[in-house]
Amino acid sequence: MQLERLVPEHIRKFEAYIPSKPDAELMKLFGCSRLFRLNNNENPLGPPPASREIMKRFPPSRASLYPSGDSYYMRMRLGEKFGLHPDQFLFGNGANEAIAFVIKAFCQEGDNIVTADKTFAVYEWVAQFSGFEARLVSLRDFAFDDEAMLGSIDGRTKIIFICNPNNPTGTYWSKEKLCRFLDAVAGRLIVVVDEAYCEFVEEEDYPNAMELLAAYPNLVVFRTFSKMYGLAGLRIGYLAGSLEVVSIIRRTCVVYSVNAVAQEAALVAMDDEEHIPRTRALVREEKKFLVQEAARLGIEVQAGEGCYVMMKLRMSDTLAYRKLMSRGVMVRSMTGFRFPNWIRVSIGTHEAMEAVIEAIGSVLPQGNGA
Amino acid sequence: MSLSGRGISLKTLLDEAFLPVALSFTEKSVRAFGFGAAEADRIRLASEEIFLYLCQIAKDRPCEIEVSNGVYCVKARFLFDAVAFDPYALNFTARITPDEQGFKSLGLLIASRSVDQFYIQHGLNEGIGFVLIKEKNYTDVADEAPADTPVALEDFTISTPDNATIKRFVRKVCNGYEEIYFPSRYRYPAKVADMAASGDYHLLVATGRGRVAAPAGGAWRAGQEIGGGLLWRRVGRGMIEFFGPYIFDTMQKKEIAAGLADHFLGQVAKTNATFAATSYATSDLPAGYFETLGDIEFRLPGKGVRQCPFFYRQLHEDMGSQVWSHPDLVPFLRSRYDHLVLPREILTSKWEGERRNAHSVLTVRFDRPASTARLRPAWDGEDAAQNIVDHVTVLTNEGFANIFFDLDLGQSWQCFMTQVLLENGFAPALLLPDAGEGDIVVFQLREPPNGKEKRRS
Repeated sequence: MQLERLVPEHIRKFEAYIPSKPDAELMKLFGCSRLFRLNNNENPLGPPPASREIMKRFPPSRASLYPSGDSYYMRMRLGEKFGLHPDQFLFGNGANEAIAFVIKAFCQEGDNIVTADKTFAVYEWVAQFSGFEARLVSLRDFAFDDEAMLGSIDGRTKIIFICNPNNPTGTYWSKEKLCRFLDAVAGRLIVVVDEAYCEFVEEEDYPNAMELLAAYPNLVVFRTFSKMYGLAGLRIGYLAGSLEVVSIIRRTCVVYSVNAVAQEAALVAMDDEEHIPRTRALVREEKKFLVQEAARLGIEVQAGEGCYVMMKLRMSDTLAYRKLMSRGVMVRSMTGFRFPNWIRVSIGTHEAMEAVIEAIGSVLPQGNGA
Repeated sequence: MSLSGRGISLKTLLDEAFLPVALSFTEKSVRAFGFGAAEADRIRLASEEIFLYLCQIAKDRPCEIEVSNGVYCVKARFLFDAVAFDPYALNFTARITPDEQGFKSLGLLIASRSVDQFYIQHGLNEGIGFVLIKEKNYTDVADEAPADTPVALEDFTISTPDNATIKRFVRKVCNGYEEIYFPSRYRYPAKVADMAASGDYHLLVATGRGRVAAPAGGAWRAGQEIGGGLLWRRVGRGMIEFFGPYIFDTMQKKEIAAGLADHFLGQVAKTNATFAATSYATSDLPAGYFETLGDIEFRLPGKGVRQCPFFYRQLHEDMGSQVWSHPDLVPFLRSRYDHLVLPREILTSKWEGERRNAHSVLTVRFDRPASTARLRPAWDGEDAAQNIVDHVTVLTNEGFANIFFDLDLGQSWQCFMTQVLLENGFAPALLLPDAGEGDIVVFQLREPPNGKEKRRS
């Protein structure tokens, strides 16, 4: 059999994403007795208490029933919260699924999307394995370059993806900058603003893109319950847009992909008024600690908004990953983000932050040397 | 007959009556792709041997011949199905004896002599077949005379070069670096430009406004100067091989070298390659970017022996894995895994008298310009020991100075080969993580077969 003849050219070149093994397997292979997972920007406090109760009390008998196919109550609740129509929301099995919905809805052969070269990888991945060109614009000073992005648009560009704040650099566009950009696009194509980490941002000039939907009908906003709300394991995220745009995206949306526990846990998570301030306080304090300690070790740091910090090591990040794993600390190596020799550390508990600093210090015995 | 992209194919039957059709197809395709008579003759000669050999081992079965234009080379693939076919015949050495059968098999040897690369492919993805590669003849060797090498750039940007810049870059490399840093086969400016055009090779160069460093105080040039560059290619499933960085700038050597490394890694980071490696690193390889894998002793006839340090870097996070090893190889693996901090669980296995297939199959990849032959086991069999010895004998007689054997630790049955290799002059030289189904141990023939009595069982 010549399988290669059956495989489209763009799939042949594509790299499959291999998720990490379960903790128990990793600890066995790396010979460590405990593991701090600081690679996925998860909330160290976990989900809000009300969401925990939902999970505890979920009747097993309901597992045999399909959930709401379009997350009905969630859409009602979000409509109230943001002053939008419930049909302006679409839910997915994590926001990653929403990325695929949008690309499938608007792109056809020969089209392209525009995003940054050093940002959340899934926009680029989904475009490429769907057979569309991903035009990657270099960051400027670790931030999305608005002028260069506008300059890379052509007649076949259908979607622009902006990660705000950017994962992994933590930079963000202010409301003024985002509006200026949307004005320049002038409704010619879809602009996606991914706000996966918006709840972590406390800066006053940071925009709430939900409030811009009325003025910019070509705007699509992504949000997730995986980060601030600590529900990453349940996989639930959504997009919001104008009724016209969402009605088109709905055609490519997979229904019933969000399970019942996720819908109910997310519904009550939004009502917890203490969860966000509590998480923000932890992230603020531990990020400060991490940045100070990195400076003490002589490590260059890129720390912006969000629950993560980047560090530049004068050694291969993939080697640093292995060495840190053998010390029970799991970080994200950044070669895959096109930041060779950088690592990204998710903000965790103080114990975890002390462990990561100790581990980095020990793999760089001569300061920040290789 | 079909034509798509840069390739053209012919479906025929493995019957000697169709030999003229097959030869005419390969020869005329090579010419149609713009190659010269010399290349076409070589491909025709090799094709004749391959086709006749296939007529013997898979008579009357269908065969597809593909000829593809690699710009700097032409590739011919002879694909056939595995039905009613004895895989033993895939062995390059199958029945090389003075009798009638031996003459039939000798065809593969003749075919290999006619081209630059020859190998047997087998696998679910690519199917079973013989592959011939003949490179274009380039007469315009880079100038040997020293030229405007050291430069001083005010600033620089790193980009993919156009043809004119590639040729200028190659000339500068040839003037500034010996063959141990830049292989002889790349020392043709037009060839490297064609290699880049083919998509098989990639280059990055650092250019900027600068001046020639000598004579001192030269005037600033209006045009662009090349401060350095780097070249890479894909090898097999998971490896990126790179060359350089070659640095001509005297003021910003470190910055240019690091910039080239960053851009290079940025370009390959999201491919499905698992690692980047080189045995052609220069002294400007930036510190901290790469790990050392070990050395390989590389012999070039008439040019002595050179010790090649291998540098390596994973492109993805290592998730850890299990590997299979013969007990005799475990100490080597332990030391390598400890050195590289690679999480591996070593499972041992060896042959303990259980039933095996009668015949093993080894595939060989010939690289005549580098005087190198690389063996890989495709199937296990009771005759594995004899088969390895026979291959080494034939390859040594053919004058190959470097004979390697790749053992894939992701395939448990390959453990059975270890003892034979160790007893017949091979020694483990390198460990290439994730280069196959699992990690690959590269064994190198240290002692020629005549150097000691060979164990055959």
